[in-house]
Amino acid sequence: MLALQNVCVSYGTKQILTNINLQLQNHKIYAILGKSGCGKSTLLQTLAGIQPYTGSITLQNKKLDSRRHRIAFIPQKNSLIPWQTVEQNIRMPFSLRQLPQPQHLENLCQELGIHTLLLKYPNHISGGEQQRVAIARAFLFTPDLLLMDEAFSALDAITKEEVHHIFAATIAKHKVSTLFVTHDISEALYLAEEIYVLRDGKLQKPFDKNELFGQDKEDFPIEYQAMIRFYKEQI
Amino acid sequence: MKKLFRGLAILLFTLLLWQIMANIVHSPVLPYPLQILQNFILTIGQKLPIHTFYSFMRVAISMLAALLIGIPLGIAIGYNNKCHKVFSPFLYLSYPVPKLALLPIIMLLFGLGETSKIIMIFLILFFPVTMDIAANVRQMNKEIFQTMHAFGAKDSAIAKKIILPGVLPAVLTSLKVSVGIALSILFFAENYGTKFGLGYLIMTSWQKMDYINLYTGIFTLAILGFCLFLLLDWLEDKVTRWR
Repeated sequence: MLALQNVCVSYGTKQILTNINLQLQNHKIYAILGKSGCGKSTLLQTLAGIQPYTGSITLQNKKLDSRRHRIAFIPQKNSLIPWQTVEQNIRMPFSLRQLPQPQHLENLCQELGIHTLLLKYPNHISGGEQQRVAIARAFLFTPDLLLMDEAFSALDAITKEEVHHIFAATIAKHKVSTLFVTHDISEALYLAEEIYVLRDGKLQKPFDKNELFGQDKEDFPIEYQAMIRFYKEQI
Repeated sequence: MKKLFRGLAILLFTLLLWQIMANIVHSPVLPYPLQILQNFILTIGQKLPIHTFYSFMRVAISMLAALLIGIPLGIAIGYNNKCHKVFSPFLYLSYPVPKLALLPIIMLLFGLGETSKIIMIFLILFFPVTMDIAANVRQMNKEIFQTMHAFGAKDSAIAKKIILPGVLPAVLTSLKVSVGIALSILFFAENYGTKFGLGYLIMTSWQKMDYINLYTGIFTLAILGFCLFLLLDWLEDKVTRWR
């Protein structure tokens, strides 16, 4: 279980995140929804061990430490190493941490439809394929926690939908505890089980996806309510 | 192979131009290329290989030393801001100093033997290699490093397994630029304290007004440079397949 207590992050004198308190269950998928600049990427980078913070963050009751725990991170784009092949990219976390290489790479790549790309270089494949490679790298790592920072926002609408489906199928199979940030309510509704809203560096109470579909939530940010109604009509 | 043929074609064209010039000048100061080629083949069985070997070894050792020191230093400067702040001013200050002007000091400090020659060529190669690597690392996408930190990677592992293979094209480009200058400095460095090396061969032939051997030395130096460039081109092709 991931637990954050009074987590604050500042850039110099500017406070970006204020007293973030959060408790996330294992094997569930959570979304953090917020507009650009609200601090959601900072929150994810803090969990990824990239940003210094005050307060307490624990994973499975131990202080969160990317070198002790297994954390996988999928950023928006450009996270693949251009001078390494797709296979080398997928295996890189194991190589960097000197962990034994897993045997199920082929199967995972087949699930994600990238098994024919293993010898190619990232610059020679499409944006959607690159994100699927990033997903494969994350899942192969069998992480305690998967973090995704607007992982699909750089993709065009059709590719995004395709990658959404592949990701949803993969995560349903592998049951990885996931926290992702997005500004896209439809993405949050499609992939997450619970949705948090981050506004001006402060986290608001969580909303269950099914509850959001069931009835209009007046305390849910108004800017997203029309989108939820539209999304309900679509399905 | 294609490049080798192209190189040979250019070499033949140069020899043709040389032949035309020699016909126009018609003086012992500019002998015919055929005379030089004959002498080249003749001296291959004599002292030319040992002169070439000494020159090649001096360049190779200097190049190796420049890479062994320049690559880790360049990566550290490019990757770590503290290293950048400490070492970059030193590099900016010393890079523009003409290295040939340091030759008397290097001769006094390290003597007239091999060490001063190697240090001289090393200085020519070290600065561009280090600065090009540092600039290359600074231009690398920081999101890659952040992602790998999130996966729990240490800086040392990132430097060794991600940055090092990534800077190889920059290293080779830098070497290609500076190898030409290194060979010209080699010519100066081989004019003292040695009886071997193409620079020595050229200078002693000049003093004896033995133009055939002088041009044979120049021709061999050009061939040595040509082979080094071919080698660097081949390596560059190998490490830039991802582009």
